[in-house]
Amino acid sequence: MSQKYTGDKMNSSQSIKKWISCSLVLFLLTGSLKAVTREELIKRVDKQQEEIDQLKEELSLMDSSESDDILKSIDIHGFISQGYLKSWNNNFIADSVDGSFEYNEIGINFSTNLDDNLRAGLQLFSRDYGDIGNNDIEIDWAYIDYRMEDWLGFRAGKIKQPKGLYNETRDIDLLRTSVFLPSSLYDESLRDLFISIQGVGAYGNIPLDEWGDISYQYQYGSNDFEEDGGSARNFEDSGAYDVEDLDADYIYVQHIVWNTPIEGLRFVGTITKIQDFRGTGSTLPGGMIQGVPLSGTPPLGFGLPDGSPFFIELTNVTNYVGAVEWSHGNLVLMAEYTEARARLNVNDIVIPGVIDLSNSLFHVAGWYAGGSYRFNEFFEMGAYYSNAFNPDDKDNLDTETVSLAARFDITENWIFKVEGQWRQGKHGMFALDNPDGFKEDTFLLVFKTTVSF
Amino acid sequence: MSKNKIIRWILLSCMLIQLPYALANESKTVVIAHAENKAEKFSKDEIKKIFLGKRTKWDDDRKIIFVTLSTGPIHKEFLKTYVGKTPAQYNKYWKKQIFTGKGKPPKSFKTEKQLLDYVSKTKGALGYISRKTLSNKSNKIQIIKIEQ
Repeated sequence: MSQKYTGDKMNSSQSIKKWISCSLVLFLLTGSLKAVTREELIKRVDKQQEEIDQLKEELSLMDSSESDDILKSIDIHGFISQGYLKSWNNNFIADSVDGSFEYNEIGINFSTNLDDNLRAGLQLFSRDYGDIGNNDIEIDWAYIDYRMEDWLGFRAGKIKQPKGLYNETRDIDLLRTSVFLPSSLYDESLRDLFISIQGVGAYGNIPLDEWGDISYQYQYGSNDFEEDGGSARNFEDSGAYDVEDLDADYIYVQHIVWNTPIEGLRFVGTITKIQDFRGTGSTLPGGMIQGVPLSGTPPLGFGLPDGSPFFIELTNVTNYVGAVEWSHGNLVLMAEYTEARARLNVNDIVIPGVIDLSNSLFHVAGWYAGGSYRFNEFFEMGAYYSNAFNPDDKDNLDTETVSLAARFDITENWIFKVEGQWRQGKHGMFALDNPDGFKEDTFLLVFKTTVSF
Repeated sequence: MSKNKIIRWILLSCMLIQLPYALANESKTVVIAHAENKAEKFSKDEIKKIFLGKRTKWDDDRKIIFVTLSTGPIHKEFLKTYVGKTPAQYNKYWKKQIFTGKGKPPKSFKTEKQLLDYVSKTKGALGYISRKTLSNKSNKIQIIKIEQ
């Protein structure tokens, strides 16, 4: 009993000791907890979170190889447009008098940032524009871009050519209100001449403090021209010969944008030089130049039997563009002027005292002014007046265009447009599409829908 | 009433009239950045350049990862005040960059909370939120002062 009692006594004494120890530990623990401030706890949590993030990052690196990461970082975007053309009096690019769906554009691009300064990408493009394009797939642009500093970067590959306000984006219907850009500046039949350059370029943005900033681009290279492209079709439009090869020695572009300190106001200047743009091929049966038969014996013809080698060459082509755009809230106003000069040589044709086609002046000019207004997220309207002319011979190539367009943004990625045009003159249209000759006026109605992603 | 009292009343009235305008003029938007980025202030023009992809680096040469809201009044106000564009014009600007290969649009977030979260966790990040949301800011965020 005594042992038991002693034992109980000892047990109770041990219990008391345990309670005291526990209480002391709890007391100390509570005290130490109270000593930690809320800020310190947040810091600890943040530190642990940072460690977790770092571990996650390391884990993701272990899970995927470098090539997997590049593949994951490739951005893919694209657009698909389909138009319907209906015209009265003259065919505009396709058999539009009867109504035509031969007007579409499809593009898909892939691009990735290889590091903070290096970027690469390419865009595949296909279009049907009457007899031009026929949905052949071409590389629209494909280049590497090294941005050394914000004021100096370099590009190499196939690069989009800047010209005026909208040349780089002329195929991207979703970026504008109208379906067609004014043909006095953006002649769709000459798209392949001005759309891209295969070579090298430098670019950058230079801050001018209170004077705004200047963006510039310089490009040097050449280009590939398709035999069924717009430029070839322009050369062939006389019906005198068939183009089998088309090339240019070099193309040089200088493009400057001054973003003025006035909000939304910018001025743009572009100089494009093309050296020896030459189309070679062979004469066609019944072909005539300025009403003189190619196959006829001189002086009644040029003495070129059917199938003879033939060329047309534009040397020292210089194209200038000056433009201004003012964007204020939902209103955008713009105006552009262009002038192009070159020496034209048609197959070295010279009949002394009768005709000299070996060195004539090729001179065209054009301007337009227009604007657009976005009424709400769904609806936008735009209009422009455009005039293309030959400064030396106003009667020969004087085309006026008045356009009125409406754009409906059905969703963020799906738009629908309708545009009406009245055109007086034949600029931007082909004689080949109008074999019975041109009528003075053309009325054109275009519907177009575009989806982008 | 003495002449002084009348002047005091006029001044007070003027101040009270001006108060709502002053409050209305104060931007509801604040520009925020990850706390470790080496910048405490930018000019309005610099902010514009950053959000148009024309300025790409912080002063310490680290890449600026600028992020936007995808929609809403704060997004609209920020673009109008600092970039001089409407949301539709801003989208068009970035679509132009995409389809000419010149750039990649910024990451965008549906909510301010998501944006705040991203900026607080991403070194080099820069974005904007409303002053109201800013009250939840963590110590991983710094407010960028904008000089006019």
